[in-house]
Amino acid sequence: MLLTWLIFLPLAGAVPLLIVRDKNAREIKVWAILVSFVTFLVSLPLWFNFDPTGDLFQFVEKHRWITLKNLNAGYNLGADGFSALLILLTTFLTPIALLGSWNYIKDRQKEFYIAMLVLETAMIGVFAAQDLFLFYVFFEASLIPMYLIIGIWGGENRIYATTKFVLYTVFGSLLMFVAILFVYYKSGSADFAIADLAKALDDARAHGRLTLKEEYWCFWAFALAFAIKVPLFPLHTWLPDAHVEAPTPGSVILAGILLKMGGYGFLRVVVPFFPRAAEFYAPVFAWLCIIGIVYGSLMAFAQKDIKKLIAYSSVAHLGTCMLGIFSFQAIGVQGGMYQMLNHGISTGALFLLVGMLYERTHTRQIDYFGGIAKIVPTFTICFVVITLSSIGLPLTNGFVGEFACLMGAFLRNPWWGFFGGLGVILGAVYMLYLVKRVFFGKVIRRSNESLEDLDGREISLLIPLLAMVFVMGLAPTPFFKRMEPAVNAFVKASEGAHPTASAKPSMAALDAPAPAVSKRGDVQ
Amino acid sequence: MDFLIDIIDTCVKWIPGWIVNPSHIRAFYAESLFIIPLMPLLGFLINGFFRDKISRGASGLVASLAAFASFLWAVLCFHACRGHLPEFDHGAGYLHRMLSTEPLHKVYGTWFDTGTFSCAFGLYMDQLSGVMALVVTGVGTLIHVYSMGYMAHDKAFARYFAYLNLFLFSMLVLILADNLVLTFVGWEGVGLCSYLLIGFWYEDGEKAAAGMKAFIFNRVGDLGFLLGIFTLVAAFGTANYYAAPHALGSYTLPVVAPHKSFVKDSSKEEGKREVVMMPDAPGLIDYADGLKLMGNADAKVPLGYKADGGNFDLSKTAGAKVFPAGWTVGFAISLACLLLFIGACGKSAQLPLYAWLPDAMAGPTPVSALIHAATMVTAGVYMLARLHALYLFSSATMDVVAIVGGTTAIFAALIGLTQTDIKKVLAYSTVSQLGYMFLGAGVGAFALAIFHVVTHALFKALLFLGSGSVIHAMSGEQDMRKMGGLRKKLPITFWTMVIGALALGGIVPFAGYWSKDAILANVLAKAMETHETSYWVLYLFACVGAFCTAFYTARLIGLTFFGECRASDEVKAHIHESPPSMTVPLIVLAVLSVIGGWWLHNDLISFLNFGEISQNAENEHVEWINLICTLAASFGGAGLGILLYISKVFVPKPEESKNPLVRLSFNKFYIEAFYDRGVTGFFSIFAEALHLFVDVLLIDFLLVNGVGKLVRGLGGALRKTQTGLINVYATGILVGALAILFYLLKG
Amino acid sequence: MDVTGMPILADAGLMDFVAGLFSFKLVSCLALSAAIFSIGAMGVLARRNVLVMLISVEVMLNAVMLAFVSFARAMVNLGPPAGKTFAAEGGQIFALFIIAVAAAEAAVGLAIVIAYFRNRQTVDTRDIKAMRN
Repeated sequence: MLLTWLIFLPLAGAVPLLIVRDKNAREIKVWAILVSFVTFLVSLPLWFNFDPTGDLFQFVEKHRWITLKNLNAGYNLGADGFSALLILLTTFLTPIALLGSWNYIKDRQKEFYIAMLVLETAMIGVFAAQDLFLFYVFFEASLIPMYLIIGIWGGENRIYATTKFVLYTVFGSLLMFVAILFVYYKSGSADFAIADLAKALDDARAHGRLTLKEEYWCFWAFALAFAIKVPLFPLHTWLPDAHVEAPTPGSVILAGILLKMGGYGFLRVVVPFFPRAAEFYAPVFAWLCIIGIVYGSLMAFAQKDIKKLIAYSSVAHLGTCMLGIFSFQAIGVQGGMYQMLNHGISTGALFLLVGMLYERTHTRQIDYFGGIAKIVPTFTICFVVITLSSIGLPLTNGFVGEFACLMGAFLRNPWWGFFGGLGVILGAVYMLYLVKRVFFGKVIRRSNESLEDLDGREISLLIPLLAMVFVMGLAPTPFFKRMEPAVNAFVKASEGAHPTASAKPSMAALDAPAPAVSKRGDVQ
Repeated sequence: MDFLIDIIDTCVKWIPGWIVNPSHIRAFYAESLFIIPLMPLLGFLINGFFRDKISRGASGLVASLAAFASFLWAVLCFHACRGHLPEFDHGAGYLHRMLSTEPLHKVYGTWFDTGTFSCAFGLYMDQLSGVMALVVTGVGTLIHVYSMGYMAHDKAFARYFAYLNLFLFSMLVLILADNLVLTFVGWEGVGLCSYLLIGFWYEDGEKAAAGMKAFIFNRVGDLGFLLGIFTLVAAFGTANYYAAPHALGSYTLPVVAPHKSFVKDSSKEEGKREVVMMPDAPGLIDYADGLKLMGNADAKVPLGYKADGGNFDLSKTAGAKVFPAGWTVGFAISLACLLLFIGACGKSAQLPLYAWLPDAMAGPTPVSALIHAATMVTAGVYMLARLHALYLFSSATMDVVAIVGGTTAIFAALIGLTQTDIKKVLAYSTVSQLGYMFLGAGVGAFALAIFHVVTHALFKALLFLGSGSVIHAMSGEQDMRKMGGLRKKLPITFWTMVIGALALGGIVPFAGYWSKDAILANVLAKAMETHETSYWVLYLFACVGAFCTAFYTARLIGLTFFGECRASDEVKAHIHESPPSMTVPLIVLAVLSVIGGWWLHNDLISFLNFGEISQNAENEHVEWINLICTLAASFGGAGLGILLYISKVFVPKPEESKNPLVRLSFNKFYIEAFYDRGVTGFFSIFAEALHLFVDVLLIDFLLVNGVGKLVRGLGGALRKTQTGLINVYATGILVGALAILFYLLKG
Repeated sequence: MDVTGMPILADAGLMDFVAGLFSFKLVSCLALSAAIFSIGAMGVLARRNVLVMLISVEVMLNAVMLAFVSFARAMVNLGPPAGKTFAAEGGQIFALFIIAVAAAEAAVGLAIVIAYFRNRQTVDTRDIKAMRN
């Protein structure tokens, strides 16, 4: 029942807000934060009671939901390593984002907090659902609150941004919906449970019921939906607009969690369902990721708005994640997943910090600042530490993820490792250039001389993030251990049609007779 | 010396005697290796968190004490790993004890373990890392003390010492790490500290930019380093240098020194084949040694594969997914070494990634001394020495190392000839000297390269600190043309700097002579051995470089200390000798610069223990020819320098010079301008253009919003059919109904 | 009588002729229904007065109703097709439905027309084009 509790706790918490009057703003905020914090506490068993050596899926719940003659969707929940960690990320970031919106959201506070709580429900639902139909419902449901959050509490150009965001996403997910139905009927699966579907698809493949052509089409339908969400180049242009217009907490959640649904979709659905197609198109995606890394970095370098810069840096970072995942090497997938968590932490923190700056100055133009390190030292320290995490300095979280991603990519194809690695250089270029322009040099504006440093609330909401930066940098092993079974299952699934003996890049494998070289993507 | 060693000996046995059984002293020191990096880390935390509360004196004291404690512990551990322990005390002589060494190795825990690749927090101290740790902590301590005087008037005193301690921590992690990934942690960590310290006075935008430049150049190298690690992991499945210690805390004596990893099991002889047992979970060096054995003997290969002249085709093995067909282990090692060398180029400021180091002089002078002369920039040389077993497999990479090193040596020396900023001269000199180290490593003389690292750390730190003392006295002036005649006013600085200059210039018997001479001898020997033109050219480069070095060193001393004082009256009035906290480190370093080379030149090379690879040139002809050449170069350069700048003090105006060679040298061959304007400019314009044309115009405007506009256009066109007249709609319905009816009846 | 409803007129005397006049002929009924429907449809399409159009719609409904009733009657004669059971009264029930619907439609439609006329003083469709484009 844990997952059900998690999913519906925020929603239930939103109900009392409906009847509260808008003028009790303080109570509304406290209540919403309390609800999300309790949700976080409730989610902790996902960490402590998750047994990495146990079943692949834990905390499983299975109930009948829609049972029609030929449509059988269940209420199936469960958490493997991927799900558990992403749910934890969600419950961890949401209270921080809510606390971060304390002063930022000034009007229609009640509605805002309701939207945020509903959003949390949808996000947890996406990660907990092990039924494709349910997954889709939550996946789409998460759009609605985000649409409102950007569209109502956003900046000047918010309507354009939010429309673009929704249209982009819906375009992909409608294609996906068609593909879901196609896959369901084609595979002859008894229900929509993801595991059953994957098995049925394997069966259909084995018996020739699912032709290669159909598989490729379905793959693209699914992949497009998730690639837009990630976002992969060239489907990324909604992201900068959405981020620039979104209010701070919206940005935090958008970058921190919503984008992860894309990567999660690839891990959970796309590759296990269509291993042949995934293998065949992996190079395409890898090169798109690489272009995304280099291109996103260059874009970030060219920006004049801090938030836009960070948004583009997300494109680069998620390119790294996806590159790791598309290497189909265990270490790369682990790195990709880990980098998603890292990105949630560090980019979330960056957006919070930018939001704090915006609250003080009402601008995000880089030119406006300069030399403020002297005036706001604590802020500067926080920003620089998060920057270092973002550019993957060792002993911060960013390094481990980036290292594993790039190693996975390198093991698959050395050139992927090399070109993907350019992000290491370019990341330092644009982030340090940003730090230099904002914080170093002389104070160029008199008005900046009276900037206030962080107050207690702001520090208290940054501390967990800063702590996670170092915890995840110094002790990543517990995370990797929790992911490992899921990663192995994923890698095995990705080898689907042609299972190979070992993906382990080790000399130990040399002792065994050399396995026949598996021709991945060798399909007729 | 024996007296000193006896004292240390007593300490080594006595201190842990309180805690552990005497027979576990070695284990105790292995366990306690972490104290060496921990001390500066604590110092960093104290100074970092209490930077507003801590008093200036306390701040400097904490930092210096942390460095000093780290130094002391490094001495004890180094001593322990050199075998001055009961288990080792066979009553043999000093030299025997020197040679019978057992590294200290301790794995404290896993850092990350992804299931297929794991990386540990492990520290490893052998002679090599011991020497480096001593240099870093020793010179580091002196520079901490010096900084207390130099930075006395700075506002951000605690921040400075926090960074300095963080640097020491990172550097020690780099040195003591037992695997490449952890080395990379230190590698990036020192880069970060370098960034923070160069941009220490961040209110000056240019200094902040210099810090950024350093970091980015380093990152270029770091990518090479990372890819090198990946290649090695792909080929060997590990990034550890050596196999993990057998059991935590307990040590067995090596059966075959010096390669503890190998146990030759003669009981399993198959005919004449030797069976080579690999340790469990071998490290990179173990593999390299194994490969070497395979190349030499027809031994059963520990990897389960027949040796084929040391070359396996990786495409037929587990690396198949990684390596294109035809790649051999040899090629993989070459590639890895080359990639790692790119990392070394970035960190150690070699061509073409050297351009950050001169700019790095924007940092406080003690920082230049510690990071950009004595320690961090030598990390590349250290890494090469650490992995020398791999580098020796790849003659092509070794050639590249030698060529890059030799070229950098002369290139930077030529630039140094005409610089007028005292710190810039020293910076280019550092680049040049690092080139010598790589040249030495490239011809296989890894021990000599490390020897040069040590002597260079001593005399270059001395020179930088001396120049800091001068700058301090001149109220911040760095242009040598506005100095002059300071020898009377700054006697201690003058004499110590002269000693440093003699050492840098390679004058017998000062420290620099011993190491540089030996490297040159090895280059000459290599040239004679291989008869390759390139090595002759490199030898020529090295000699000309030595000439230039001696010349610009004399020039530096002449312009700074001799002749009339050319400073303004205001500055003149303030000239004063520095306080003791600054002069004492100078004196210590000066003493070491005098005796260091002579003291260490036999011991260091022998106990660095690189086996048969790096020997002194045996050939007597080589010795003599080289001696003549180097002495001629050094004394010639120094003499010319004295003639021009000391006996009659010629004040140069290189920016007005018509001589194209002078202009070329003064403008640094226009390479830095190319980086600063060309590359940076291109990068930003390219990024802007890409943003405008691809993101805004192509993707967003044309594709995304284009689709939207298309839909709108279509809608607009279809809208015209909506007349709003009921009759038209009704007709439509009827026609539609008839059409359907027709279709149904027909079907 | 065969399905086509075509009686055999051979040997028909006067009585037979009279009887023939009262006998049921589906074709005739459907032809009539189609004619009325077409008239109604033409009225809807061609007339510009909404009121007349409403009346025409009623006419069309009546035509449909006639068709339903005719089929129901024919079904009584023919019986259900093999294997099916259904009430022959279905057509008549539908006719009743249509009467009710037609009444409702007329009521609502007239109400709208009157409301519209009150506001705009016209019931000419050429003037009613607020939905244009």
